Amino acid sequence: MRDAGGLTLDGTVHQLDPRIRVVWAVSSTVPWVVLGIAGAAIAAVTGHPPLAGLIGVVAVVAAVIGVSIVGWRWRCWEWSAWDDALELQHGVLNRRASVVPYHRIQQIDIHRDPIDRIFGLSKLILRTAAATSDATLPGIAAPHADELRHALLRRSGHDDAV
Amino acid sequence: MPTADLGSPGAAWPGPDGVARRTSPLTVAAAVLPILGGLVLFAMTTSLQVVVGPESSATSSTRSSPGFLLLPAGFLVLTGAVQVLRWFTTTYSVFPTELVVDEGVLSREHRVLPIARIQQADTHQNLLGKVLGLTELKVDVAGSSGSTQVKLRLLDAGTAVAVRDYVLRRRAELHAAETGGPAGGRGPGPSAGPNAGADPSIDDRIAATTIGTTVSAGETAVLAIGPARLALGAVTHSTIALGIPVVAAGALWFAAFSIAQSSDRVAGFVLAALTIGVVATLGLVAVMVLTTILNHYGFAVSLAGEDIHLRYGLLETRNLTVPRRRVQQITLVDNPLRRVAGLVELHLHTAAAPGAGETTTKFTIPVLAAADVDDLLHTLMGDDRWRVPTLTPRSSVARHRAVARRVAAVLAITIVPAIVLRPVGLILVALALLGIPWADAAHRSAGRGTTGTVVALAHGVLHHRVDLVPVDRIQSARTTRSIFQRRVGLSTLHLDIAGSAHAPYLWDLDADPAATLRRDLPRRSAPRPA
Repeated sequence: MRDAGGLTLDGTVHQLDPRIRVVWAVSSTVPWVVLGIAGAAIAAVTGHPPLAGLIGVVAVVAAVIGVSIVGWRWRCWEWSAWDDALELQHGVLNRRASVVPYHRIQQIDIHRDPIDRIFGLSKLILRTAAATSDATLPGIAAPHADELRHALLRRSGHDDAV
Repeated sequence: MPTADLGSPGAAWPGPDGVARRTSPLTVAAAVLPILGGLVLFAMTTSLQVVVGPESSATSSTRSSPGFLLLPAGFLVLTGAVQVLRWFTTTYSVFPTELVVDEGVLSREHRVLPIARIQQADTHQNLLGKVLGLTELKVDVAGSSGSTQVKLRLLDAGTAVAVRDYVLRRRAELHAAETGGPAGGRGPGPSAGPNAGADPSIDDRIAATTIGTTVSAGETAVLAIGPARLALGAVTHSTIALGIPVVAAGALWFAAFSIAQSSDRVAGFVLAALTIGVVATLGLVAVMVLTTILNHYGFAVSLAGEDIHLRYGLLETRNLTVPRRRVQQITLVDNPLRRVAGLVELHLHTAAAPGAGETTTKFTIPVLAAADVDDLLHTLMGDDRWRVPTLTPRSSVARHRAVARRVAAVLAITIVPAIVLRPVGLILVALALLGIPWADAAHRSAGRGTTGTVVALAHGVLHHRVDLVPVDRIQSARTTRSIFQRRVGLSTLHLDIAGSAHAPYLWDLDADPAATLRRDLPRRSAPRPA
C-alpha cells in the first residue's frame, strides 16, 4: 500500500539513514574531547601532570566507547509505517518500542542541528497530546523528511486529539 | 463583609458582549494586604523589642527611629504600584465563541481561547478572597504547551461564577453542535448525566455522610465526605503507610549506632529509638489529619450534565469542573492500612495544560469506601462499562524478579546496622527474608485487565495503585525491555496519556502479551466512523 505522499504503509521495516552513524559518532565524541582537553590543560597548568594524564585517558576511553557502539545503536533502530500507526523500535541496552497512531498526531516538527545540516539529515519529531510519547525519528534524509511529514500530517486527526 | 457565595451566579456580569473589562479593583488590595500585614507585624515586633529589650541606648535609638521602616515601606509602595499597573493593563472579554485576555505591562500579550476547546474552568477562593468577596477564575484549554492556561485574578465572586458557568454551558453547546449530540451542559433536569444519582444505594450512602454542602441548581449530588471520614482518610494515608517503615528504619539505624558507641546502655538506646519512632509517627499523623481536614473540609462531588464538579476547602475554597469526556485516566490508590479499613483514594486526571505540571491536571477524592468504587465510576463517567476489571496476574518469572528486588532492598537497609552490631546484629540480615512475603503481596496485587472501554494496570503494595485508562484516550503505547528483562522474556508496558507527566505502566509483563497490547491499544483509540 502506498500513500499519496510516497510513504509505504505496509509495515516495511526501515532503518535510519547510514549517515546518522557519523552524526552520532561526532556528537558523542566532541563533548569528551573538549572535556578531556580542558581538564588536562587545567590539571597541567595547576601542576598535576598525573591527573592531566588520567583525565586524558578517561576522555579517550569514553569517546572510544561512544564511537564503538554507534554501529550497534544504528542496527537496533528501525521504524515502520502502517496504514494506521507508526511503529518505532530502538535502544541498545534498554530496548524501547512504541506505537503512535496517526490520529493522535498533533504536530510534526523537523529539527536540523548544525551537524545534521552538514550531513544532509533531519530529525522528525511527532508530537501527540502526551508529553511522554516516544516519537522522534532521527537520521531521515532532509528531502525525504518533508515528504514524510506531509504524508503523516495528511493522516493525522482533525480535532484536538485529546 | 461582602458575601462570597460561590454557588450563586453574579448579577453584575452582563453576558458575552465582547466588551473588554478589568478584573476587580480590589485585586490590588488582595496583593498588597499580605505585605502590609507583614510590615505591620515587623514594626510591632521591633517596637516591642525597643520597649522591653535590654539593648544599649545607641541601638534603641536606632530602632526607635522610623528610618528602619523606610525600606519595607518603599517595597510596599513599589509592589502596590506594580499591582495597580498590572490590574490596569489586564482585561478580559467574553464572546459567544471565545474568551480573550490581554495582559502585560512592558510586554503585551493577547490571548484568544476558543470556548469549544476549553477543558476546565475552575474557581478558587482563599481566605483573603472570602473577606474581600473575590475569586480567581482559572481556564484551561487543550494543547501541548504550557501556555494554555489563563488565570483571571481576581474577579468578584458572582462574576467569576457567572463567567465560568457561561463558558462551560457554551462549550457544551458548541460541542453538541459539532457532534450532533445533546448539549449536556449545566442546567436542570434532563441535561443531567445519564446515570447521575441513578443508584439509590449511593444516594443513601451520600445522605448518611452529607455535611450540608449545597450544590447549585441543575446539579446532582454524587458524594459528600464529612470531617470524620476525612480524618480516617488522613490516618490511613499512604504517607503514613510509607512513613512507618521509614521511621522504623531510622530508629533501627539510630539504635545500632548508639549501641555501638556505648554498649553498656543498650536498654536506654533502644528505648530512645522507640520513643523517637513513636513521637515522629504521631507527629506525622497529627499534621496529616489537620491539613487534610483544612484542605478538604466540606468535600462534595456533583454532576451537571457532562461536567463533574468538586468543591472543598475550609480556608481556601476550590470549585473545580472536570468535563467527563476530558477525563484521561482515573487512578485508585490504597495501602495496607487502607485495605484493612476498606478505603481508597481516587484521582481524576484530565488533559488541561499538560506543560504546566501534573498538579493542575489531577483532582483527588481523598477517601471513599472501596466497595463504592464501581458505583461511583458508573455515576461519574455515565457509562456502566466503567468499573475496575478483573486483573490478570503476571507470570511466575515476574514473581522471581519481584522477590530479588525486594530482598535486595531490605538487605540494603539492614546490612549496615547488622555489620555495626556484629556478631549479634547479623541476625538483622535475616530480616531480608521479609522481602519474600512483600514480593508475594506485590505479585498478587499487580496485573492488567480490560472491560473493553477501560484498561487497568495495577501494581504496588505499600503504595498500591490501579490506573484505569479509557481505551479511546490512549495517545500512544510503549514497551521497554532492560537487558535483565530480555534474559527472562519480560517487558514493561507504558500507556501515554495526555496531560500526565508519568505514563501508567506495568513492570514485567510477558513480552508477547505486552507487545500485543502495545500494538492494539493505541489503534483501538481511533474515533469510530459515524
